[in-house]
Amino acid sequence: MVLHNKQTLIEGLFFLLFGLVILLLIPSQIMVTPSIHTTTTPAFIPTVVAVALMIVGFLMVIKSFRAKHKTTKNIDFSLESFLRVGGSILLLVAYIEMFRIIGIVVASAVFVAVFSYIFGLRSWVKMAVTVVVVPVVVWLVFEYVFKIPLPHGFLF
Amino acid sequence: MFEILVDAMSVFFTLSNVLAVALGLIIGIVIGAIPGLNVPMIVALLLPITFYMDPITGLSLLLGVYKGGTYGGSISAVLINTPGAPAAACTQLDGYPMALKGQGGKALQASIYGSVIGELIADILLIALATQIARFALKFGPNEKFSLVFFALVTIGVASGQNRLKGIAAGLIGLFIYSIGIEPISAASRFIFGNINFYGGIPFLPMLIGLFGVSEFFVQIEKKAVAGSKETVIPISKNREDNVISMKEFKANIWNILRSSFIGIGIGALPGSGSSISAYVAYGAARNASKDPDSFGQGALEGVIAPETANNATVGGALIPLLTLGIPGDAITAILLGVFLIHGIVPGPELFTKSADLVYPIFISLMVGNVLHLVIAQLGLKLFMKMIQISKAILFPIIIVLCIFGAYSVGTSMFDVYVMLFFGILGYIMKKLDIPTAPLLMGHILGSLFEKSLVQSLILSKGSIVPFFTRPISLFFLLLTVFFIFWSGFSSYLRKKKNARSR
Amino acid sequence: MKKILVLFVVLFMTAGLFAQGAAEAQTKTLDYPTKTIELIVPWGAGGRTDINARFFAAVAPKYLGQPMVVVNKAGGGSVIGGQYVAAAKPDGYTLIAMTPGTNVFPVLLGQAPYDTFDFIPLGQIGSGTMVIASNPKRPYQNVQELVAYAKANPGKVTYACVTLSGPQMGFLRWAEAAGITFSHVPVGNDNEAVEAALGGHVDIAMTSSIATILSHVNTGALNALLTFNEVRDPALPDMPTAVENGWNVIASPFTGIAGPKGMSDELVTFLRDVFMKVVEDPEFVDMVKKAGESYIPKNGEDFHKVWVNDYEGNKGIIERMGLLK
Repeated sequence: MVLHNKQTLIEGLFFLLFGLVILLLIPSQIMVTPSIHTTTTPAFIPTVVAVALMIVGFLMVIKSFRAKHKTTKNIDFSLESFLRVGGSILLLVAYIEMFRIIGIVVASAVFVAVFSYIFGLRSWVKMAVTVVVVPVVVWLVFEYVFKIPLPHGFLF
Repeated sequence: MFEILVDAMSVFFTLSNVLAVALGLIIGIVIGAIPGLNVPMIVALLLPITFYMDPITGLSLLLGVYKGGTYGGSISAVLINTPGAPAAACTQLDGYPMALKGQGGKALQASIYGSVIGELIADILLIALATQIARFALKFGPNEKFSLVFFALVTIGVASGQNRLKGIAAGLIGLFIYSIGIEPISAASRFIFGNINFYGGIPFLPMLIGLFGVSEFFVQIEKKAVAGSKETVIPISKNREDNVISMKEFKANIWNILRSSFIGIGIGALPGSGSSISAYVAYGAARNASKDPDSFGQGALEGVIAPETANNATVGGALIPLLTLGIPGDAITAILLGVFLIHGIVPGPELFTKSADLVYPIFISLMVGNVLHLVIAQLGLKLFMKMIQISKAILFPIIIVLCIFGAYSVGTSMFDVYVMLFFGILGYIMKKLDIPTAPLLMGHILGSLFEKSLVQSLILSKGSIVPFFTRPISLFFLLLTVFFIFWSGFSSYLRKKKNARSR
Repeated sequence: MKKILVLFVVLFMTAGLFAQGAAEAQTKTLDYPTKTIELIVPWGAGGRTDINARFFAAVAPKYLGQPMVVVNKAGGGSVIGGQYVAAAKPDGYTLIAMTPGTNVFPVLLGQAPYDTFDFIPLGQIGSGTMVIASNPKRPYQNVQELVAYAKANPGKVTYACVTLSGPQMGFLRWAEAAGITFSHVPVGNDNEAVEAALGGHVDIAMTSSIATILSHVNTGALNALLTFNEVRDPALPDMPTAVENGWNVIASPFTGIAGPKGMSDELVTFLRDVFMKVVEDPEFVDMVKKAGESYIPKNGEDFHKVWVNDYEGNKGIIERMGLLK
């Protein structure tokens, strides 16, 4: 028994665990309405899913110890890319949270600027145009054409 | 029949009707292309306005939106790897890899031809055989529907190619995500965790936007950016063969187009299924029939044509039960039913006797819509190819703003925006690990039909599973499923053998 | 720079305070509305409630002087939209288009974090006519034959109906009154119930709207057996109601407009007044009738009675069936 593919092993273990977690959650998280009699209970599909997921996970674990199969492509992982993605997730959370405070339109203007800078935009004229035009057009389309009320904060 | 159609033409051909079809198509294509704006929303919005129009004009407009919207999703699916509509989730599997190879123009053209031909065949069948098809569709009871969904789920596994186990796992997780919320059969709550936001289940559109749009944003932002870079998302080839479909390629896909059209019409004619399912089944079928299934997912032309043909054929297919039985199959046809009623047309078995004067002009409008679709989409193609040439640094911030506005507008709720973000992160991780994301979405889409038809079957048979095998249509789909599994295994075994020999 | 920013912030905040103070002063003399009113539809776009709400919102500005927008907050069997309005500020700018599905079943089944009486009814727009329809190939062609057959074969007759919905409650109340047991086949919506009955996969369908079966009844593909309104439906004038047959069951899936509890009396009076003007507007009447809705407008008080009646009737059957948590 030699481990040939670490990624497949970890994924397989993850699916095994995920299936197990679903199974363990079912008793506490599925409230059955009493006296509605059907042949299957509401827990049926989640149980099937959990068991099937565990089987798939188990097969993947076995697969990871077998030499024959091709290794999947390597994950290119670097600290920098992790920081870039992690940072942009935090920025998106900040963006979403700012809806209530400064309003969706102003927040969008701010974050269009931030993200276009991260993507490497250095032409200030282009950035200024994008920052003004995009949020305003999107806002007009959603609020006036599609009549969807948007969150406005104290700025706008 | 012929005379009626000629009369109907003289009724339909007014400037305002033709303009209404064209306008509807344009609105539909734009709405379809923008991630986060969806067709049911816009049709509901236009509904009160059409009330003030002539019935034929109003319906022409909305049917145009329906057609355009189903096609439009493919534009963003191909060009920015973000399907604008659920029906296009399958198109991006091969559309975007094609675009990365500089063949974006060709992929979009394939999508136009596929859509228009699929629509045309569906409309002809609708006009000629609607009643017969609807009568056959009624034979699909819970057993048949369950077997069909089971078949569709297997197709997903098959279509995942090399990553079959991962694809199946993703589909299962999609089914689990579907099961969150109040269960529709006995109103039991599942995996609510005491949070009222989970009552409604995981909202589908924010999930779609996150899984495809936001995850692509993360993929792009991860790459180290060069300050002042003018890099575009996809390379644009100046070569003619990368931007148009050759006659040879078209001929090679005729069977694919026909097969996908019939899959689309058939699934469309069954109430409760829909264009995302037909697109996936057609994709799986095309992959199984292909001489080179491994090219699927790497930018195979067949992989764009199949789902695009099928999802637009589904539009015509879905009109069959709507018009002949008065039964809408999905959210859009449900609104269209309301539109017909408002205009004094009662869809159902009496439609052709009571409202013939309105129905045939509407059929003409559908056919005219196909021609206009071809023209407008070709013009739009040039415009979209121009638009995609702006630099990434401007495009992706715009996309993320659209995603966020779109996710918010689905239910005007912040919860939906966070659902979108969650699936954005999940989709990004899955892409990194090479786990296919489309099965996750399909699990969610198919979940409700899967569970409902299973429970209904078992209630009707008092818990016995025998009817699944004794009812002919149900048995047919189960056998087809078995055939699919063996065929895909057998053909990949043959290829491996061949490869080994040639080495 | 910083100072200017601070100054701006202060300016904005004081402006905000003034605006709020002004609004409060205005409510006293009821200078309402001064901005867009949101009409929440707790279902997705395109359903019966949604279409009615959109008609209402299209005509209401005529009498309000301010726009009204329809906002879909779907999910959780309408509990999410219901909770949003129940918790909204009772200033009249957040209203809800509702059906028994929002304020009766989730509450009775203990699934809603609000109470039925957290809403103030403003008026009823219309109501579908609940109807039982059967496949004509079955050995019963009218309701008496159905009852006789079902009594002879308890639990054998299958009915398709949306789970724990208005139609199912009406059906269960009728089945109880008639002393019969049926097997329930849950479906997602009325159309699926009709589809199942047409295809012969179930014996009978119970739907919330006569419009879903009418053309099939006319062509003989389905038999209409029984309706549940107070009066006969004009679309099927020969079809006796449950009450006429001697079963004391009235159930109607109303569609109406309500607002959150806590609105001032002046505001409620004003809104109920506007409501009646809108529903009596010929343009509105025309739209609703064409859409196939039974147009039965009721003012706030009468709507309240329908609502309470529905609540009590369904509470009874839910308790007797042991569904109540």
